Amino acid sequence: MHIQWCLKGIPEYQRFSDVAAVRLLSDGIASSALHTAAKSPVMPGYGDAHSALNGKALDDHVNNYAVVGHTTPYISLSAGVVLPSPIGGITVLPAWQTAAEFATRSGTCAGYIFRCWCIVSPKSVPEIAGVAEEVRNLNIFRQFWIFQDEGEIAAKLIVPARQIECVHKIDASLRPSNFSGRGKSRIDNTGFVPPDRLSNLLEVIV
Amino acid sequence: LSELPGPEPWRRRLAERARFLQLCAEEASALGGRFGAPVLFETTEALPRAAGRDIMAPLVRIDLLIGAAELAFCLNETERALGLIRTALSDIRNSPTIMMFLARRAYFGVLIGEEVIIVKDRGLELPGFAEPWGSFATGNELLQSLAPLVYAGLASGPPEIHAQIVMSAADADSVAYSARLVFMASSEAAVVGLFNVARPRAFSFFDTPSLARIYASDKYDEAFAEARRLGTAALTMMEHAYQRRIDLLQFNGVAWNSSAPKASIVDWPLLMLHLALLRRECAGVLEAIPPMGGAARFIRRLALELFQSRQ
Repeated sequence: MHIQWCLKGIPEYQRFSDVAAVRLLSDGIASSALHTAAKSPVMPGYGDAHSALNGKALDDHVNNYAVVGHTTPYISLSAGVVLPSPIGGITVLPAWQTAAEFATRSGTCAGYIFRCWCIVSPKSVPEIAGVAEEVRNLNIFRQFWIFQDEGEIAAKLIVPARQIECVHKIDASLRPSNFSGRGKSRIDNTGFVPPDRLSNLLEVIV
Repeated sequence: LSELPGPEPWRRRLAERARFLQLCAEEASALGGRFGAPVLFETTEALPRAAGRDIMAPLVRIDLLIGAAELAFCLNETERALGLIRTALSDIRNSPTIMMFLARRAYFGVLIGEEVIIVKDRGLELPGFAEPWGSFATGNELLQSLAPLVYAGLASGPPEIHAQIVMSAADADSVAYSARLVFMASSEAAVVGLFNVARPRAFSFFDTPSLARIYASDKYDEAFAEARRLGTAALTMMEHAYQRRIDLLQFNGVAWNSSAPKASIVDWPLLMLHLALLRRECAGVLEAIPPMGGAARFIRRLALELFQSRQ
């Protein structure tokens, strides 16, 4: 396993404004399946959403999102990707580009970009919650070539709030935009736990 | 009109995508800073800016500009595309002189007529830059870039000067020698035959031109004819491959609508090859190759538009 920083872009709209974006810093980013199954409290929906995790659901989530967008148990995050360039060398597709595209609906509205981390498996385990799938990696997920340039990491059921570092707001021109009543464009999560608490880098005993 | 035809609603999506890429390019530096490594890693003396960040940040912006230009070309917005490439070139010229930037500068500089390059066996020459290959490229990097560089050389001037690496390996260092060896054995190299570059049978491009002139001066007409035949076949294959790729994308609606506006839908090496044929007055060969579809016609018309814009 390794720990991967990721970005998540969500557009601003009537039912998802500044208050809702900031609330995710304490609630976590839930999948559509969890939202749909839960109705009100989270736990009753957890069993159903958990049973929805499987290889076909992951394939639909990546390759057929328009159909399963409201029920998918996965959550699209981006960590960027590097691809070969047609004139030699490489092309770098940064995570912020994908996140900004989703957050602003390709530069047509304001939106939010969350910075979070998740644990990623080096093998495909779409059924297991708690570890994310590195679907940008064609060595593992050969069926996901169409959207490889989104650099996707597919989290499952929920990105826990403790793993979300902060949320940025940007406008349709991709420039920083202040949260209403706060006078700043970035809100840090006071409950955030940095990933180095979990890593295998150990300090000396003093 | 040099517009790449495609199914609806691709044109609208291409236009949206081009606008978004331009926005990203304008904000690339700020967004990269905001969403990259935590501030701690950028400011701590013991952990200076992440290795490669100084190189990757301008590369991202340059490729965003080129991506927006590519889509503008597909939408018949040639002037806007040229403006975007000029901005990208300005950034490239301020970037480190390493292969990934030099290859882009050489290719796009020649494409819009702002640069003239010389691709020698000894090294690469651009305005203000002349270095041996081994000083700025690995063999693999050169191999990846050699075909578009040779085509850009052909578009810059006469092959014997501007694509001299094809003619001889006498001064090649180990990097150039191995990359050239692989390139010369490929179908990508066969198209140089369309530029009246040939060697009589029994002589290879590893012999000096004078050797063949001395011992086989009467065989050149035959050699040129054979080279043109092979070059025509190679160009036909390249156009066919491009047309097939676009056809496949258009046949696969999911792929086209989602991926095509982001992927490389202008075949840059093929475009440069057509431009070189026009600039070297060798485009007559195209009469023998009927375009296989809308994509092939588009790439030819775009090359013609670029050619005429610099006349």
